[in-house]
Amino acid sequence: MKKLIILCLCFITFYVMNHEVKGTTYHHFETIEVLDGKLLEDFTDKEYKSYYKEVDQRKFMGWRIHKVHTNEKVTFTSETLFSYYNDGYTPIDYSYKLSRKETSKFAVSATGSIGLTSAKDGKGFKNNLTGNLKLSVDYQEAKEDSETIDIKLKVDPGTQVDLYIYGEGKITNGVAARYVFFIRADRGGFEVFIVTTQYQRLEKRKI
Amino acid sequence: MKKILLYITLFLSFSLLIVIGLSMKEDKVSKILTVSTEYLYLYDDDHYMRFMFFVNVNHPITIKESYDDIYIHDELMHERMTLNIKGIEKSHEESYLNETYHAYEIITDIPYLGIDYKLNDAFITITLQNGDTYTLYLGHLSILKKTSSSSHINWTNLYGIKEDNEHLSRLRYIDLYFDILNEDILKIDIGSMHETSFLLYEDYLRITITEAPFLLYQCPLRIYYQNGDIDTIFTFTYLKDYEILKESGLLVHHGTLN
Repeated sequence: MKKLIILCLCFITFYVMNHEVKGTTYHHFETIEVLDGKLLEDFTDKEYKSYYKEVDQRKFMGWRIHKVHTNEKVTFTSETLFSYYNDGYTPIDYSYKLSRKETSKFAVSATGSIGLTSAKDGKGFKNNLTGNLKLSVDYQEAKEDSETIDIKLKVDPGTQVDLYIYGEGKITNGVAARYVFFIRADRGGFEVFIVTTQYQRLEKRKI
Repeated sequence: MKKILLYITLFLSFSLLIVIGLSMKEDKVSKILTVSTEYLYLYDDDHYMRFMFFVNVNHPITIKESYDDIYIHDELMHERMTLNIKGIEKSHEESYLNETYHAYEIITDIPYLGIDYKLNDAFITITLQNGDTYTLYLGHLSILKKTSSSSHINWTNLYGIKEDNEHLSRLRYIDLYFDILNEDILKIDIGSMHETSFLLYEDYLRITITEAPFLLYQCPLRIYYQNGDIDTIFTFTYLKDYEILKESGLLVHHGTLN
């Protein structure tokens, strides 16, 4: 019996210790700015300490969640979709067609020991934090999204053309802690971001 | 005996709940939605038109191979154009009235007409190979004919934005930066049924779409000069919204699928 208890304790300890250390940030976006609030990456240690107090009360099993910002408006600049440089001596009729699966409509980020699921399982948080956050359906990732860009323009010699995306979205972030038999297994910050409007901007410049 | 009755009652209640649940599931209506949109294009044999619709189920209408016929027309069928379908592309998902809708775009060739073509109330009728026919309201359709460009303007930067705090997917301003503009501009046409106005600054033009009753996210530009010359700028998609349905209110048109 003792052996069984020790084995169980070892298993729980291993389960609790074996977790992701760090999440990621939004690699799709070159800049992202919250109009009235803060991004998770800008939370200070002092703020974390204060927010953690809201989730530090132990529970038998599951997540305790404290949302700091809910559906705050954000603006962003996304990656450059294409750049083309005409290094010839005559103008070129340039056609650009792109059809790609899965837009950057939905992104998640985490700190501390909150893990992110792998891309093949769909973006989200490990251990069902995504479900526990009770986010509105708008935040559900559309895995088969596609995006098509179709542009045809004349590019003069010595001219570079860049197409990039910027826009607006909303963000929900905060801190969460997960408990297993009253033992804290994970604790950290979470953030969910969705794009609501995307603008395209086309620039031509002489080089 | 009482216990047996209790068990029977519990069993029957549970079965009834399951039956009710299943019947509610079966009653889910297959819906198709469109949103009144300004579909504005410049004729280009290398470009396509895209018409968006939303469905809440998997249905043959989302598969190109199921299509038998597709044409665009006005309400009274006085004008009708058969379209050459190139494909159907799945776009994004939206939640609307407690259901999840998948957005799709029907992609067709732009028909060559040789004239500026405008259809005030455009419908699209789709006949599937199983004989089912669906007629959907699109909004306004405009196809500007291609004209020879005079190159009086050399634009350097092109983008558009919505009105501040506008939730509808509706383009309001287009900013066109330039490094050369060597002729006076008379007017600018985006193919819309309505007028546009513009302000000329030192190095850019701000075009204001003064009236667009429907959604508007892409358009061409046709610039008319005082001397009679014309420049055109291709159909550019200025914005894409991901919450179209819940922001569009009365512009959403509901239909059912068989």
